This record gives sequence, C-alpha cells and structure tokens, in this order.
Amino acid sequence: MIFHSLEFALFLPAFLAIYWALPHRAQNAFLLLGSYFFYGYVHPWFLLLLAGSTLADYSYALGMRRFEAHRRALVTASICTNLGLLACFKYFDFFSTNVAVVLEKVGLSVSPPLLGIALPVGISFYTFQSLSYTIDVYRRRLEPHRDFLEFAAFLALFPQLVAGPIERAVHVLPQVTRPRRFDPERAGLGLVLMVWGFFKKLVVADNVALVANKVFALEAPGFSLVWVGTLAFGVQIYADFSAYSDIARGTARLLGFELMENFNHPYLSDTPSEFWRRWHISLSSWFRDYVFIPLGGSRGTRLKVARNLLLTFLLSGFWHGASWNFVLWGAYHGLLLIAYRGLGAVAPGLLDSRRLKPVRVLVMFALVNVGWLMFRETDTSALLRDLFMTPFGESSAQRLAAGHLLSLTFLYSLPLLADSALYLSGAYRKAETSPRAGLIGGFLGAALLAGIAFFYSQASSDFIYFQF
Amino acid sequence: MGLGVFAAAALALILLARVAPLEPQAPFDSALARRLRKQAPDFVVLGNSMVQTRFDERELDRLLSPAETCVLGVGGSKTAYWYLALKNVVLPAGTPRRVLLFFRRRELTSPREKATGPFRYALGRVSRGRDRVLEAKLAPPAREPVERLGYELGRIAPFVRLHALAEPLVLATAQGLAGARRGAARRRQQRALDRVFSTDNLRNADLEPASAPAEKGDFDELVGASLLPNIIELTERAGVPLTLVRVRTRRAADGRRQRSAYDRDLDAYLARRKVELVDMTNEAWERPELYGEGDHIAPRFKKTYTKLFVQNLKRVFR
Repeated sequence: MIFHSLEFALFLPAFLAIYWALPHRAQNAFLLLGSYFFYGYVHPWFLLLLAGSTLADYSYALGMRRFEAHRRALVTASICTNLGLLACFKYFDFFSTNVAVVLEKVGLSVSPPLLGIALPVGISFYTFQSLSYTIDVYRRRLEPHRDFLEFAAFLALFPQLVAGPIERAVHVLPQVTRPRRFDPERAGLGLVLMVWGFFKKLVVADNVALVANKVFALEAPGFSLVWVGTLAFGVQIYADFSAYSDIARGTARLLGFELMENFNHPYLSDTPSEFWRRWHISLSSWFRDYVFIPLGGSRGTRLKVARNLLLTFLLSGFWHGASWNFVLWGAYHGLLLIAYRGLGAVAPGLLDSRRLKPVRVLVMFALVNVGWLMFRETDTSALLRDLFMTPFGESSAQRLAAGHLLSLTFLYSLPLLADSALYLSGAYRKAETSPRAGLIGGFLGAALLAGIAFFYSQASSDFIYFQF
Repeated sequence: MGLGVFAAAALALILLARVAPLEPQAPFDSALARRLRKQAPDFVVLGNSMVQTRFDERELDRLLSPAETCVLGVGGSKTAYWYLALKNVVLPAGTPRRVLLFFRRRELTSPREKATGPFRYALGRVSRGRDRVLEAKLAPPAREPVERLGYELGRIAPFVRLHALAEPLVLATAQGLAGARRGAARRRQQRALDRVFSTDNLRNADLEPASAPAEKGDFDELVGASLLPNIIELTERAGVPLTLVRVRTRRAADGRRQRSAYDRDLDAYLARRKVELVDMTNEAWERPELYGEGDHIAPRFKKTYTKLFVQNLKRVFR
C-alpha cells in the first residue's frame, strides 16, 4: 500500500479507530496485523520474506543469550541470512550478468542464469533494521527481546517499513513495550507533518519530476538541459524522500510512536560530512555505526581513514541499487569526503570562515547535484557524455527549453526555499514552544491543504526510494 | 482548535471546487476536420504511436495511388480518443472505404486509459462538448470498488477544477521568468519546446511505457464496460467497414507470441460482430531489426515498413 493512495486514506482512519480502542497487548497484536496487511496488500508473498527475516533474527538474538560460546557464529548467521536475502532478491541478476560479461572478455561465452524476480518493496530497509538489532545484541548494547509479538511489531511497524527511517531497536522497541496513550497534541503535530509530507510529494516532487523525466527521456540533451534536468532531479529526490519520511513520522505519531528524523535541510550543508549528517540520517548513521567504525573509523593514518570512507560509501552506493551508476555515485561521495578532509588539513580557513559559508553551501549544492546526475542516469555511456559535455554548440531551441524548465523547477522549489528560510530564522522553534502551537499548526495544515488542492501534479508517481 | 481550522479549510476547498468552472479542454481541431472533408480519404489509418511510428503517409499514398489515405496516428492516444475521433471528425467528414484501427494488448477494452486527469485536455481536439457515452464508460465498474470510490469522491470534490485554474498561472509565471512575457516570445518558446521534445528526439524506451497498466478481468467482463461496442456501432451506422489491426510488440518480435485467452475471446467477439481482424503478432516479414528499442518501428525504417506492410497486407486496402 502506498501513502498517497485512496486505500491508505481508508485504511488509516479505520485502523486508528480500532487501535486506540484496544488494550496495550491487543494493540501490539493489531499493529502487527495492520502492518502485515499494509505490506502484503499488493504482493502477499512478500510477507513470507518479512516473516522469515523476523523469525530468524528473533531466534539468533535469543540464541546469543543462551549459547554464549556461539555468539559470533550466530551473529554471522544473521548477517548471512539478511545479506543473503538481499543478494538473492536484489543483486543476483546484477552479479550474474556481470560475471558473464567478464567471462566473455576472457573468451568464455555463457548465458547468465537470471532470476528475474520483482524486488520485494522495502527489503533493503527492513533487513538493515533487523541486522542492526542482532549486531546490537551481539555487542551487548541490547538485551535480546523475548516477546516475539513485540519484536515482530517493531520490525514490521508499517509507517516506516517500506522506505524508512531505518530505525534502531534501542529506540523503538521500548516504545512498543510501553503502554501508549492517545495524545491529541502529539497527534495534531503528526497530522501537520503528514500534510507537509503530502504537499512535498504531490506538489513539489511530482511536478519537478515531470521536468527531470522530460530531460532524461531525451536521446541527446544539450548542456543546459542536462543540468536543469539534474537540478530538477535533485529537488525531486529530496522532496520525494523527505516527504515519505515526514508522512511516516506523522503516521507514527498518530500511533503514539516517535521515529527518528531522517532529513534535516541537507541542501544547507557546507561540507560533505555535514551533508551526510543531514541526508538520509538513518542510513548514514547505520553505515557509520556498522561499517565505518568497525573498519577503524577516523582512527589511524590518513590513508587508512580514506580507505574506510571509500569502502563505506561504495557499499552505501551499492545499497541503493544493483547498478554501476549507484556504485559510481557512492565512490564519488566517498572521494568528496576524502577531498574535503584533505582541504581541511591544507587550508582550514576555507572551511571554517563564517563569511565564506554561503559560498561553501552553494559549492556543496553544486557538487551534490553532480552526484545526482550519476544517480539518475543509469546508462553509463550517456552518463559519461553528460559529465564531460561543454556548453558550446548548443542550439538556441535547447537553451530556450532549458530556460523554461529551469523557471518551472524554481517555482515548484519555492516551498522548500521558504521552509529553509523559516528553519534558519528559528521560526519553527518559536512556533513549537508557542502557547498557540495547535492553532498555528491548524493554519499551516490548512494552507498546505489548499496548496495541494490547487497545485498537485496530475502525473503522480511512486516514491523513488521504493525501488531500493 | 487547530483541527477545526484544518477541517473548515478542507470543507471550504471542497465547496470552492464544486463551484469552480469545469476544467478546460483543448480546442476542437477544426483544421483536421476541414482537411478530412477536403481530402475525402479512401482509407483512414487510426491509432497511437503504433501508427505514428509505422507509416509514412506520403509513401502510403504513393503506393496505394490513386486511392487517398489519411494517417491519424496520435502518440499516446487510446480508445477514448479513437472513439471521439471517429464520431466527431472522421465519420462526419465523409464515408471512407475502410477505417483501419491499430491496437495492441488490451487497449480496446481499457476505456479509462489516457482518458482522465491530464489526458482529458487532449481529448478536446476531437470532442464536441462532453460525450455522455464516454462519461459513462469512464466510471470504474463496481468490481473495482476502491477505484469507483475514488471516482465518486472526485465528483464530490472536483479538485481537478482548482488545478485547472492554477496551472495556467504557474505556466505563465514560468514563461515570464524565462523571459517569454509577450505573445511572439511565448510562441518562440513553445516552438522550441515542441522541437526539443518531439518524439524523434526521445530515447526509444521512453516513447511509451513497455506495458500498459493491467486491466482486471477477462475479455467478457471488460468488453461491456469498454468503448469497443460503441466504436463498432459508429462505423456500422455510417456504413464504413472497420478493420482492427493487432500489432506486435518488440518483446514478441523476438519470438513467437503465445495467444492468450483474452486474445481468443476478442477474436471470437469480433467474428460475431462481423468485424475484420488482422493479427500481426506473428507476421514473419516484421523482422525484429525493424524495431527500435520499445514497441516502435525505428524512424529510419518507417518508409521500408510502409512498403512492406502494403506488399504483405494489400488485401486490407480494398
């Protein structure tokens, strides 16, 4: 089920009405049932994977407590199970095709075996969430949870199941365990967050998606068009993914849960490290805690740190999809981090000066957009052509078309610019602490609703991160 | 209090949408109607990009001379458009010797495909006001309760009208920002957009999605709710023979296509209704190399394809 569908609009109120009428234990059982219904609505067989992953990690974690001597073997088994699921359902065809290509290069022609299975939605998200649980139990940061129902409800929690935030057991499991009471103020804030999410998805993301899709459908777009299309995609992916996170967090609040913030105005960052502290925070912190730090983190020689960064970001790129352009995108961000670290060591003034902050933000924004081109363009030869294209020899028709599309992108980005301005001015903090917070929220929600009614895109599409 | 403000706004928006004017449609294409009246073609070839990317009209005219042909291939069009084009443009203009309607997959029984939302605007080119038959077929059937509910909610709260009011403002502002504030500059910008994004400049795979959204149900369930019976009745009433041409898709061009139960039922239905069907899904002369990436014939083979079609299927032009 998707958030911007009639099915969800019918499901959520009905679910909430029953959910809040139940006692705590039954509430958790109903939450699990509702989450499985939400997830299996289109493809019920996907539930087998989710249930299998849940059962496996629940057992591995309990096993770690019972069989102390085999903790390492059990956590390894959990890693293999979860990554095995990903390898099978997400990466098998990619590996198979590429092995065949390599074999053909050495003169061995084979037709690669392909599974051709539809990627189960959200598999990358819930396997990572489940994995973080068993690793935390192994590291003794968390006691294994004995109550299967509560554990299953935590892993399947429907607001964040399909596209995150990738939550941690240490944060959400206690919320499942504790009795929850309906808090109208909190629910109101959740509703405003949801409406803001729907606004970003239906008005901003889906409208600028038309621009990006138009450009990337061209056989040979010129320089200006490529970069306008990339800029539009940069706006789209932020609006789209942060919208999903906001709707997820808002829905969770209606259920009495508090999920972690996944985006914090990432385009206001002035360095790559700040960008990754603000963009897809739940995934970046996952890679930080379970890949980068175990590799050695920022300790050791510069070369070692650079290796750790590059490896972490290569894996992060690969997490996004079984395609070379995602690997390239990950490598690019790894190299950016390494380059900025080098720059910080050679010319610290450049990265510290307050006066230069706006320039740094603009430079970072441009660099992030170069990365988005790698992310959006899946055809490697077209990507290389686009990256090394010059503005010379472009037709006036292409420039005129680019001008129009840039204006459209700018207009539909205005709400995001206003959001950034309000954030920088501290208006949100003031509103939250104001005694009239509820009323302000009501007016804000009403304005956003009007915005949706007038400016929604008629060509709505799925959330981008569903494909990962 | 906040929730009250929110609910009041929602109610006000619904009321506003209900009193807002109907969403506009593109102006009727009188030039096309005039052309058809003047030309009085012997054969009208109707369809979407399957026709647009297959036939070179001049070549077809030359090959069939002295018969006159009119190729009406409108990219992205589906049955709603074809039905209206036949009813309001083709048949009122004269009595062609035959109408050839090209389709693929389940297009003939998907009346809502490309007929609602943003596609509604384009239907105006072949519409003379709202069409009751079409309106009735646009309502999802009762076996699709969620879709039906959505449709009814859209009638109660027609936000599409508010959108239709706002969209021209956004476009005009964007044009102004891009320096096209006046008529001539705007026309120049529109020409540039049309040229840059013309079908010839698109990647083949992006011309049209490889697979249309699956319509639930079998042929017998679908046909009653479709515009196919209406299309047949229109041509029957005008005394114009109709030939339906089922084209192959690229995927099928790589190997023989299996006929589905749907295909068999459609064939039987057409036989009962005495409508000629040409099934091209397994024609040997349609070689895979003629195709571009998607379901379309590569632009450089358009003339060749036209020639091959006439050579191999001359019988349909009678």
